[in-house]
Amino acid sequence: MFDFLFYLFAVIGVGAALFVAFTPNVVHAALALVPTFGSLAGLYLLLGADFIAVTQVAIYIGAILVLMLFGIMYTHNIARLSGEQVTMQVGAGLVVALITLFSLVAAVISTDWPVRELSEPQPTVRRLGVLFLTDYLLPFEIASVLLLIALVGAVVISHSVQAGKSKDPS
Amino acid sequence: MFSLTFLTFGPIIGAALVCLLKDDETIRRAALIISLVVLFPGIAMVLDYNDSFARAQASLTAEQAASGVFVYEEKIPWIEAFNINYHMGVDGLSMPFVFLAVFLCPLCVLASWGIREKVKGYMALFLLLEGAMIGVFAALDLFLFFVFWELMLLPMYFLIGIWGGPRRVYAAIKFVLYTLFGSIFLFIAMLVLYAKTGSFSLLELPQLMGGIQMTWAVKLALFIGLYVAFAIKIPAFPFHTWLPDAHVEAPTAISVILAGILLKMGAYGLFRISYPIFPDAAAWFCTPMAVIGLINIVYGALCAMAQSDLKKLVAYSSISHMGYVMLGMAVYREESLQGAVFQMFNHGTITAMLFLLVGVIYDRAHHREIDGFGGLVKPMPVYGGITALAFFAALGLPGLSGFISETLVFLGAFQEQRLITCLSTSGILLGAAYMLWTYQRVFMGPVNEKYAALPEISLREICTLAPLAVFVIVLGIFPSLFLNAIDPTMEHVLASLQKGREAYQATLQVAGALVP
Amino acid sequence: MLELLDNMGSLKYFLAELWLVLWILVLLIQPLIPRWSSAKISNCLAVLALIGAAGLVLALPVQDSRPTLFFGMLALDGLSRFFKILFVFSTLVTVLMNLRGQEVTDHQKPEFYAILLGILLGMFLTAASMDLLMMYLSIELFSLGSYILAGFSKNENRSDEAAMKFLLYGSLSTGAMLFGMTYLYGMTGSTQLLDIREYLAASGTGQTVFFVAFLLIFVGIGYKISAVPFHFWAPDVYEGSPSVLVAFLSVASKAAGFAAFIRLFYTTLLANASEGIWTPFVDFDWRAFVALLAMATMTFGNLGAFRQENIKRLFAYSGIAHAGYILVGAIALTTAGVESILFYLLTYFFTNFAAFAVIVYLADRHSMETIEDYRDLGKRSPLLALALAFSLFSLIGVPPLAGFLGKWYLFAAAVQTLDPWCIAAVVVGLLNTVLSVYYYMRIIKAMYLDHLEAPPLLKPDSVLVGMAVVLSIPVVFMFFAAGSIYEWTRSLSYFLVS
Repeated sequence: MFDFLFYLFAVIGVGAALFVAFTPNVVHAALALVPTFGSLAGLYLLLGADFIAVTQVAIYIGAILVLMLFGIMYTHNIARLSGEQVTMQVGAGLVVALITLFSLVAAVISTDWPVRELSEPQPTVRRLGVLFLTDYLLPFEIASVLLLIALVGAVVISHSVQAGKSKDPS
Repeated sequence: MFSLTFLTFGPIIGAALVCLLKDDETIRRAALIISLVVLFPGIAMVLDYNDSFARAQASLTAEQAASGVFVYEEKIPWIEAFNINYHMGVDGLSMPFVFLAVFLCPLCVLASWGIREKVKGYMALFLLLEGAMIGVFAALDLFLFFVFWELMLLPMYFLIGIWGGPRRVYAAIKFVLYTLFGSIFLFIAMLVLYAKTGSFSLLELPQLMGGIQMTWAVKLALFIGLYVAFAIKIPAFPFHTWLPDAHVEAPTAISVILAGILLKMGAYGLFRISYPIFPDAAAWFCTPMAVIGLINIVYGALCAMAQSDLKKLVAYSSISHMGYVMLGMAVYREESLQGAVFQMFNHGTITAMLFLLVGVIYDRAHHREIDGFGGLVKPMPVYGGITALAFFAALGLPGLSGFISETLVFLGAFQEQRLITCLSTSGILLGAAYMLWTYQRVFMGPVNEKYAALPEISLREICTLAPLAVFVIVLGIFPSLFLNAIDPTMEHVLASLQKGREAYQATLQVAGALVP
Repeated sequence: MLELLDNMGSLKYFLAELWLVLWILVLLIQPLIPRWSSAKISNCLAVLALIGAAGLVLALPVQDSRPTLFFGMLALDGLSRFFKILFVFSTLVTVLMNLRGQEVTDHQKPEFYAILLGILLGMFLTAASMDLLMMYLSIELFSLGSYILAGFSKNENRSDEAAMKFLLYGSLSTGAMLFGMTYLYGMTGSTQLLDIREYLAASGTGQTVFFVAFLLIFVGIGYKISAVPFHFWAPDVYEGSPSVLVAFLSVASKAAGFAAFIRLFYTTLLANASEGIWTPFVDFDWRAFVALLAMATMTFGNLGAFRQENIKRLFAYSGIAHAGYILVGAIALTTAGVESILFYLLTYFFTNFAAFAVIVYLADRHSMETIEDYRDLGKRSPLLALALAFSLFSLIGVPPLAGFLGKWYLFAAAVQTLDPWCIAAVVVGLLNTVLSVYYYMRIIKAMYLDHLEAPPLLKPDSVLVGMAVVLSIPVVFMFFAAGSIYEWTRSLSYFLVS
């Protein structure tokens, strides 16, 4: 059962991701992110990571994806534009990609991975919360600084675009 | 008083002082005074050298003297993590060139009186160059040697590149690239030697090299690397191609410095670094070195003969004259080694004269075409006379200093390299040919109307030439003044070289092959 | 034994970072207060913040017990101390260069400084991280800040392109790094560097996965130090970004990359055998790998610089080449190699900032960015030209300037091992030095050998000219005290494993 579900989610996830990468239609691509993110949430659940699964759904599907769709819809005519899917350096890119793929696969296959017995899944929220305020307090706080900087950056970039526009006519 | 640090850093501090001055004339005078301030202690050191050396030799035990006797030594730890010391000192090998440097520089400042543009920059760079040159000859630490060696590049680049002739930028960058390329090998050899022995001291390294394991291939590689670094400076065939460009484009005084001192550094480096540290590899390299010397002599002379530009002719004659030095260094005889060092010194004085003389005529006629003159003896008799002296010295007329050194080289070389020496003597013939032919075309024959009213050589210009002429004549008559002073050091060099040759032949016999 | 400090106990060693966070907030609030909203006040605040931070870093108590902070997240050792000092002074110099700058407009200054302080915080943490998670977060923190600041220039199009390229390539490379870190975590079951070290020491050999993991991590770090083949961003970003930021990136960002490099690889991958010689746990030829990388980096960097007309692009390639030289110190796999890397970064700090003080001044005030614009600078502004000339010679490595000493230590450390890869890399490095002469000399030639009939006058700017002069003084005179400065870096080169 576990194996079946794992491969099911994996196939859905990878298939949808490939669709995202290859479809020329931006709206389709955005929508195809739903199964990609969703199957990832499924994988997390299978591993007993309930909190991460929930945040995956809530943040990626619930917030980020919706935001992207808003962005797409507010952009004039973007749905009808078909972006170029192939860049100039196809050959070189293919070679690099194949080498990377080969070395990753070779590494994964040849490795003697440490395997842990599956235990009864337990709720993780409480344990995560405790860890965030004890052992992992510093990364937790630094992540918030990171987000603050990102926020300021987003404001600055959008602000400078507006400033640029208002300058143009004059 | 007898401080090599003062000789080295006096001009460098002087360069900084010159930068603070405003008026061009003041700057010229200041530069002259600074170079004279350095000259007098230099003269005092030369006069005192024999006594000091004898005292130093007496005070050392036989074991200490095995690494060479040095006078006026100064030693301060500099970078202790790498066992690098600020170590200065001179022996019979370096004293002549320290003196040559302090002696030529005031003359060059005088010769640069005609520089009109950016006098401040010129004089400051020139003094910096002087300090670096003296530092190269006085350094007894390989690292320090390298620092001064490279430090010369900067002023040289600007002096050629800013105040040079029409193709100055090309010549300057070519000079810098060639020299830097050579220093790579010096740098690597230095690092490998340090990694093997843990020392940079030029006194200790020869001894330390005896105690370590190093394969013949590595030794040869390092020796050849060092040889390339120094051969570029000499310049030995086939690394000589930068020289004509640099000489032709450089202003007169810088040509003098280039020929008089910089070229000596290559041969000095071989004597000071390559020979003592790799005496066995040096023994292996004897015959190739003699052959390269021969090529330099003949090829340089033939090229000189083909030139129509007076300055280029002098440049190629330099290549030819440095060939004698290399030939002398290739043979382990007292006469030839002394001859080589003496030839280096004489070339410094004679070629300096030649370049100064070319500068004199160029300042008046604004060109250097040999065929463009004629009958110059009429309007400029004094000039013609001094030129005759310099030309005769250059072609090795008996009684003048060049003759002695060339004869010594041949005397020594003939005992080991008969064929090469015989072929090399053709250089004397060729030298006489191009020198006399040139003299005839420029000074004899019908007077060229254009130059019939050229002003005679000025007092300032005579002041730059006369001291050199004195050296050329005095050392031609009393060469022992020079040779006696360098004799103890040259004996030491010879002894270590012969030991190296024995070691080399021993390995040959053990290996039973041509290349052990 | 290592002392493990808990969260409260760590705070007293964490004051500089807390101080920075405080001032980030102050700088964000400052423009909202009407009477305080002038650019002068932001300048003052930023300088104050940095002087305070520098004081706190310098006053950081030296602990013999070498504790780790926050349950093993951060190290408190010489390495982190050295890099913190380097970073805080880099930032201070950057802010000082920007005081009267026009490229970053006045109303953007508070945000510019706030983000710059955020970057500094990220770099502080990068230098001290002892945990993969922490390392990733802090690298991301300073990278993100850099991406944003790259878009700050008044030259909108180029700047936008720069920021976009920087962001896209950067995310890809940090993504690869994160991926590599997950492999490490998957195999060893811990994100703590010291735990990973123990695991590798016990049973690391023969597993291909570690090789792949470290390779992937290197993608991220190689991007930061702009090593070939992860260097493509540098020329475009350098050209398009505000010049002050380029100055900062060229020194601090590269140093941060090397901090992460030393911390990660030396802590996890290498056993320090006797006499300061390190050997890898994992079964692959580390020396060959780094040597090839270093040789490729310096060669491509120098070749790329040959045809550049824009000074900032030229310096991008020069920076790539210097990253290659610095990697030579890492081939040696000795403690002396690490020391020489630190020393080189120190010399590079003075040299590059001295050069950039001139470049920023000319680019910012006069929009002079090409080599042609630099013609006759020797006459138009002798001080600036002299400072730039000295730093260029130092970049070439002409003795006795600082750059020569740096290169000397690097190459000496490599040759001392007498390993063929090291010697090969040193030979290539020296050949590259000769190559680099050509393009550095082009600038010098323009400044001193080319003459203009009527050169446009330059507006005086005491701050930047003063900085160029002050920074080039150590470049010229460092050799006097080369020994003791080297001893100082050596005293700070220990880190938690050693």
